[in-house]
Amino acid sequence: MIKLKQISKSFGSFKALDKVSFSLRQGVITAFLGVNGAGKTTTMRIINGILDADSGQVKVDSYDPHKQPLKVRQIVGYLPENNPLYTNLEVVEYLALVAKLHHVSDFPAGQKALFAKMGIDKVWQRHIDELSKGYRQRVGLTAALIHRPKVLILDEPLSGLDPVQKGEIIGLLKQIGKKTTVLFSTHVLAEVKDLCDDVIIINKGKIVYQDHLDSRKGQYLKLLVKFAGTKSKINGLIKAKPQIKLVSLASLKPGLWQADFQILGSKKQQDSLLRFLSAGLADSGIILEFRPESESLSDLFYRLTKNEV
Amino acid sequence: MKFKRPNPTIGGLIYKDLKLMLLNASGWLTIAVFNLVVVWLFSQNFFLVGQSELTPLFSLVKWGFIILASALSMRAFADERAKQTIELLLSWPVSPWQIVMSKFIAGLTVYFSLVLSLLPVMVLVSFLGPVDAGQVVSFIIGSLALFSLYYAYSLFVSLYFKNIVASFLFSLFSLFVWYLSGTAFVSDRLPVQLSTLLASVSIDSYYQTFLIGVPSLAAVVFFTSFVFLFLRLSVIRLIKKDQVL
Repeated sequence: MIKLKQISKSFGSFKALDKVSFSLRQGVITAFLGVNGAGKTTTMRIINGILDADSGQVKVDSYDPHKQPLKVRQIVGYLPENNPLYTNLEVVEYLALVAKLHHVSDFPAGQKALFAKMGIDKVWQRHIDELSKGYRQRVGLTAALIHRPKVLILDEPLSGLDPVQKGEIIGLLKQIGKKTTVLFSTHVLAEVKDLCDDVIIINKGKIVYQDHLDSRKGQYLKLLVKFAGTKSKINGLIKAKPQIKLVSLASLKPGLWQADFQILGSKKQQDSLLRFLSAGLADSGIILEFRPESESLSDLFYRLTKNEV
Repeated sequence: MKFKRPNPTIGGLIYKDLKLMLLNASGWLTIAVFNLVVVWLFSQNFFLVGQSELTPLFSLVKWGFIILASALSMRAFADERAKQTIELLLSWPVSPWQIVMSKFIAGLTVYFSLVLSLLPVMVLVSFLGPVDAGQVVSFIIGSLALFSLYYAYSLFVSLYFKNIVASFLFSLFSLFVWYLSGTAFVSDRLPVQLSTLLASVSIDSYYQTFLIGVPSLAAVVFFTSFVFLFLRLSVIRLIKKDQVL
């Protein structure tokens, strides 16, 4: 549904995105994690055609946001960071405007269920500037959902909501996420566990991690290896055993690598694969660390972004 | 829950801007103050001259429109940038032309409201003596052209600012200088070559043709070209999304 290939973007001398590539599938909710300034918002803006990439390719349901921005915006629901709204309008006026611009013909009757779930019906004719932060967030989310988008891009959608509201909205997003591609940025890792299927971590404009969230719940064995040797050796071992998946590979210094692996298969198979990997690596280099582990999402996030936290 | 269907489309964007510029207490107050000031200044000389003449009224609005266009336009883009709603606008399936035109049309709606608010004065003057209907039409078209030029320019200026006060002041000052540079007051003090050059882009000389009731084709082309130019420049600026977010 969404494909980014080698996307780069600079603002003056600051490189916001550096060859970012990932793809998002339909019916999957993906958490997009990163510290402030990591490149989350820039990526989301590029997907929606609000910004243009300097290089690389983006496809949203076969449309190019740079060349066909209006087509893309027609199928994307977007909630910007900080949830800007036209606060001088009434809730109904604002939602009617968004519905009309997206050619929603059955507004407002067709969205009654959405309004009720969001609790918007209670503030229907109030000016937005009279609403609490929580209700404003609901209005912003409702506006992003009003045209039943195929793709939903949400920049910090749950900020400002109390725990009850968060629970309700997470429930709604889970339901919507069954058919819709959802990219969801947040700082709160607990929200990710509750809501998301996949996770992408971006740091300093580079994707440093992309995986299924289920793998973090213990279905796969994780393995951290620090290895002095050649990259080609690691690649050779992975090619030989498809059950060993390289999740990330970072160069700590010349000739020194840190690799994250997923080891698939039964316990017995995993043990066998660990032995294969350790023997293969020891054969052509020095293993400095070899740690099978079940690392939590927060541990992973802090490790991958530790220079920024 | 009682649902009502408020306003139709293109109009959606125009209505949004009108709610900000006109359809609120400060909007009506602005119109009222503008009206009162212009009428008060007009009445100062009207009874002294003793003629049912509307030229001074439309001569006065050329200055008032500079303030009004600058004030209205600062809410158009500078305010959207300050409040980050520009990101919402750019995320909706509307083209930069539609965005710019909706704001321009909203501005023109304010102009027509002002002309309507001056209608009682025009009717009153016509009761006091004969008024040339053709000339009144020329005045109205001329003032529309003048306001359109000011407003299109101010819209373009407001795309360069995130601070509404800075946008207002820059627009006000630059429009004032532009208008003044084409008047005899300035051109008489300048070298001939420069004053000739300034005369070619003088708002004053072209607006005067409307005030005397015989607008020239050159005046129509002048205003139309500059309005289109500034609207087009606004669209180009809006397309460079990095610079307006």
